[in-house]
Amino acid sequence: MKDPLPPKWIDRFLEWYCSEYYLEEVQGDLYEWFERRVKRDGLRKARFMYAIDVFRYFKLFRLKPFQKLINNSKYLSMKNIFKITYRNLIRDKISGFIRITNLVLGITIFMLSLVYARYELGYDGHHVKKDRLYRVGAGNPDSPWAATPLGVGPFALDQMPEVKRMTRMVPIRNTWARRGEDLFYEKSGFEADSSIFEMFSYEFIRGNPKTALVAPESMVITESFAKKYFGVENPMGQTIELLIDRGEKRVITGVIKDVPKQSHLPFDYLVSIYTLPDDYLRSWRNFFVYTYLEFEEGASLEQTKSVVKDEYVAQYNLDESETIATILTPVNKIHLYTNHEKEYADNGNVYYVYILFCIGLFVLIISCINFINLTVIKGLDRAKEVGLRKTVGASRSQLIMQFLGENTILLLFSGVLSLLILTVGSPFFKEFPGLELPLSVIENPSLLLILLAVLIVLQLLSGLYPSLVLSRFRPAEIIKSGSGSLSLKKVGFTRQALIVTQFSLSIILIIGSLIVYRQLNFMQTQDLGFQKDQVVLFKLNRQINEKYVTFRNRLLDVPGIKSVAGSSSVPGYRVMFEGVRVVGDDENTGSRLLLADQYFLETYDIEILDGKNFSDQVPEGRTEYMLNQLLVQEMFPDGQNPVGKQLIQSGDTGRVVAVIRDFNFKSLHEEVEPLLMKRYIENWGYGSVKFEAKSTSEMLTALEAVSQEIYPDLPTIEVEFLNDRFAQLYSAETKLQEIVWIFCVVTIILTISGIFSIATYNAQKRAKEIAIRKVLGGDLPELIKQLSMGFIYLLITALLIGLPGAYFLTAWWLQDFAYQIDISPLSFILSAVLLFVVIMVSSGFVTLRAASRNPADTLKYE
Amino acid sequence: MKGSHLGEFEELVLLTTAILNDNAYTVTIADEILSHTERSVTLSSIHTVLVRLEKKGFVQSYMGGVTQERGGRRRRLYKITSAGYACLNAARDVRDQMWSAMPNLSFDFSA
Repeated sequence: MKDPLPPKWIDRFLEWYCSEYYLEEVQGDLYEWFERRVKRDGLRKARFMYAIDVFRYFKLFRLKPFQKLINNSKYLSMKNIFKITYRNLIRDKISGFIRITNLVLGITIFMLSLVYARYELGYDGHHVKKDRLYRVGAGNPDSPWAATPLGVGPFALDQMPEVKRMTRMVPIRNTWARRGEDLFYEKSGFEADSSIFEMFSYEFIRGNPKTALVAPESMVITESFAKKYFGVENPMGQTIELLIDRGEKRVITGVIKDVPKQSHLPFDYLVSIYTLPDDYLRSWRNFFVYTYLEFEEGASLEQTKSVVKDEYVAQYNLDESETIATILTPVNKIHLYTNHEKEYADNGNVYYVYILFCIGLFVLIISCINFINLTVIKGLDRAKEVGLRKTVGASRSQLIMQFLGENTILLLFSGVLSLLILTVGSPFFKEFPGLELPLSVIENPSLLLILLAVLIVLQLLSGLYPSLVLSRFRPAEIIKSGSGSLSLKKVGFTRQALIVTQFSLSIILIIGSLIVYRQLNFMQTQDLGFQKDQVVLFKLNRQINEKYVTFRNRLLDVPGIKSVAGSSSVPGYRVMFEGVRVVGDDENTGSRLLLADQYFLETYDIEILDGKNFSDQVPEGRTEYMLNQLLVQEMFPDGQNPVGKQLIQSGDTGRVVAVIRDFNFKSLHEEVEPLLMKRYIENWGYGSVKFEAKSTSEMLTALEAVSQEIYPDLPTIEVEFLNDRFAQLYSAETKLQEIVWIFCVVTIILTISGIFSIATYNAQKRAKEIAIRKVLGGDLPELIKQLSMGFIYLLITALLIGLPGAYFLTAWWLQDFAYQIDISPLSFILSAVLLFVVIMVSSGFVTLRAASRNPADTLKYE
Repeated sequence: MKGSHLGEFEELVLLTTAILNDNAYTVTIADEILSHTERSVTLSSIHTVLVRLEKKGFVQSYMGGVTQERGGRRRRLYKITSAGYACLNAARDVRDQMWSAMPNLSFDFSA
C-alpha cells in the first residue's frame, strides 16, 4: 500500500503561493507532521488538519510576489531613493525647508486661483439646457439693458418658430411675507411664467414642475424658505401672504432645493406671473422684466434678433437711425460677461477671473523656478555621489530616474501638504466676502484630480531639467577637480534666465498690487460731490409710506438726527432713466431721474450752484425740477440760464428751481451722468437719515424704537450705512486687492527664499576666495559688493523686462475706471527699490555671515 | 538597537532551539515545547518566529540532508548564534535581578 498523502489541491495551493525560498522547508515540515497525524488521528483528520495548516502558513512574507519584490532591483532602488531623499532633506534642513515651502506656497496659491476661476466660470452651469437658453436684452452697445418690457417674451414665442419656450421673471425685491404670526423680510423673489421649470433646471422636492406655477395664486418656495415659515410641516397647499401691491394670498404648490449659489438670478421664492392682467402681460411699456428664451436645438439666433429689434422700432416709433439692437446672452455667460443696466445681481468680471488665474500661475512659476534652482544647486554638491554611482556602473538613465524619483517624493509631499492647508484653511478663506469657494477636499473631491495634473506638470517642469543637468556630470572631471562639486558656471545661462524671469514676475506683481491699492484708495477717498459718511439708508414700502410723515417727524425729534429725506433712489443704487423736455419742444432728452423731497440736498450736502431748493408747498398738479450741470449742458447748450424754465416729464409740468453741482450717484466705475431731480412727496423707495458721527449707536437704537412705536405690526426697519453700500460697490476690487496683496507677499517671500539660498551657495563656493581676500586686507563692504554684484545685474535685466510689462498690465486694468489714478513712476521706483533692498538684505546677510568667519577656519584644510 | 527585545514566545522558541542544538526545526521545536510546557503550538507560528529571529540575527539557518520521511524534502535546520545566546542570558539576568529585588511577600490572604 502506498503511503497516505495529503490532499492534492491543497498542496498545489501551497506551491502556488509560497515563495521558492520557504517552499521546500515548509512543505517538508508539513509532510512530517502529516505522517505523524495519520498515525495518531487517522487519515481523514490528518488531511483536514493539513489543509488548516497550509492556510495558517499563508502570510505576507512567505508569498511569491513579496519575495520577488524584495529581490527586485527596482524595489531596491526605490527604497534607496526614499532613503537618499530623506537623508538629503535632513542633512540640509534649511534648503529642504525652503524647497518644500516654495512648492507648498506655489501649489496652494495656484489651486486657490484655479478653484476660484472654476467657481466663477461655473455660474449657471447646472442648467441642463444652458446651451439653448438666452436672456433677451436691448439697447445700443453703449448702454445695454438687461431688462425688457413684458411683451417681448410672448411676441418672440408667437412670431418665431425657433423659439420653443419663454419665461419672464419680474423681480420682487424687499417685501414682507407673513404666515400667521411669522413675518419676515424677503429680499429676493420673482413673478415667473410657468414654463420656467421646463427651461431651467431646479430640483423639485414636492409638487409638479409642469403645473406648479400655472394657477395665478400659486407659489413655489425653496427648501430654506419652507423651513423658515413651516418648520417640519408640509407646506404644500398652505398659504403665505405677500405684502406687495397686488396679489396677497399665495398657495404653495411646490418646494424646490435651494437655488445654487452659482446662479445669476438667486431667489427664495417664485410666484405665478398670471395675477397680472393678460393685456398688461403683452404690453411694451417699461423695461423691468428679465426675459429668457429657449431655442430649438441648432437654431440660428440672427432671425430672432432682427425681428425683435424691428418690433421695438415699431412699438416705440423709433428712428431707423437710432441704433437699438437685441442682445441675446447665453445664461451661463450672464454672470461674468454682462454688467448691463438693470442687472439683477452685482455680476462678476471675467477679466478679474483671468487676472487672478494668471497671478496664481505666476506664483506657481516663480515657486517652480525657485525649486529648480535650489534642486540644481543642491545637486551640484552631490556631484561626488553622481560620480561614484556612475563609477560603480549606474547608467545615466538610472541616475535620471533617481533624481526624478527624489523630485516626485518632494512634490507628492508638498502636494499633500497644500491639500491639507486648503482643507483645514477653507473656513478661513470663506471669510472673504463672495469667496465661498469649495476648497476642502471633502466638499470638492475634484481637487485631487487638479492636484494630480499640477504635480505631473510640475514634475515635467521642475524634475526634468535638474535631472538632466545633474546626471550629465562626468566622473573623471569630478574626481580631477577634487572639490566634490561643480561650479555654477556650467549651468549658468538657463539658471540666470530663470532668476530673471522670477524677478520680472515679482516686479509685475509688486507694481500691480501697489497700483490696485492706490486706485482703490483713490476711489474710496475721492470726493463724490456729496456726503456719504454720516448717512444711513432704509428701504420704504407701501406699509411704511402710509405713515411716513409721522415717522419722519418722530425721527427728527431724536437728538443726533439732523435731517431725514425721502427719494425714489439713493446714491449707490440704480437711478432710473427717463426722458424730459422743455415745454414747447418736442424733442426728449434722456436723463437719470431722481424723485426727491426738499430735504434731500440738505441730507446729502449737495451744493446748489444757482437758484434755490424745492419749495415746501407747491400748488396742486405742479411740480419743481432741479438739474445737474451735465444735464444743463445737454438741454441748454447755448448757455441759457435754465432756472425758471418750464419742463415736462411724464406729463408733469414744473419749473426749474435750481442747478446743482454734479455728484457721482453711481460708483467711480462710471462717469457722472445728466441728472434730473423732480419734487415728489409720496411713495418713496428709500429714506435717508443724516446723523452726527458721535451719536451713531444712540441714533440706531432710537431709529429702532421709533419704528417699533409707529409700525407695531411690522418688523423693525433694517438700515444700511451709505458708506457700506459704496464699499459693496467696490467689493470686486476690494476682493482683488486683498488677494493681490496675499499673492504679492507670497511672491516676495518666494523671491527672498530664492535669493537667500542662491547667495548661500555662492558664499559657500567662494568661501576660500573670501578668506584669501580677507587675509590680503579686503574690507567687508567691498566683499559684500563683490558677492551681491551678480544679483544686481540680474535685477537690472529683470527691471528692463518687468517694468514695461507692469506698465501695460496696469494701464489695461485702469481702463475700466472712469476715474483713474495716474500711473506715477513712484510705484515703479518703489518696487525696484523694494526688490533691490530685498536682494541686498538677503544676499548681504548671507555674505556677511560668510565674510565675518575667521579665514583660518576656512583655509586650514588646504 | 532595534530588535534586541525578545517576546515571550520568541524567547521560548529560542530556548528550545538552543536545547535541540543540531536538530532544531519547526517539527522538533513544536515537540520540545509540548513536552516542556504542554503547550500545543502550530508549525506556522513557530516558523514565523524563526524567520523573525533569523532576521534579528539570533539564529542561523542551514539546509539539512535528504530524508525519506518528508517526501524526500530537505529540512531547514536552525542554530542559535552567539548573539542569540547573549540575548537569552541578558533576559535571564534581568529576571534574576528583579526576582532578587522582590521583598519577601507573605501571601496571607486571610487578612
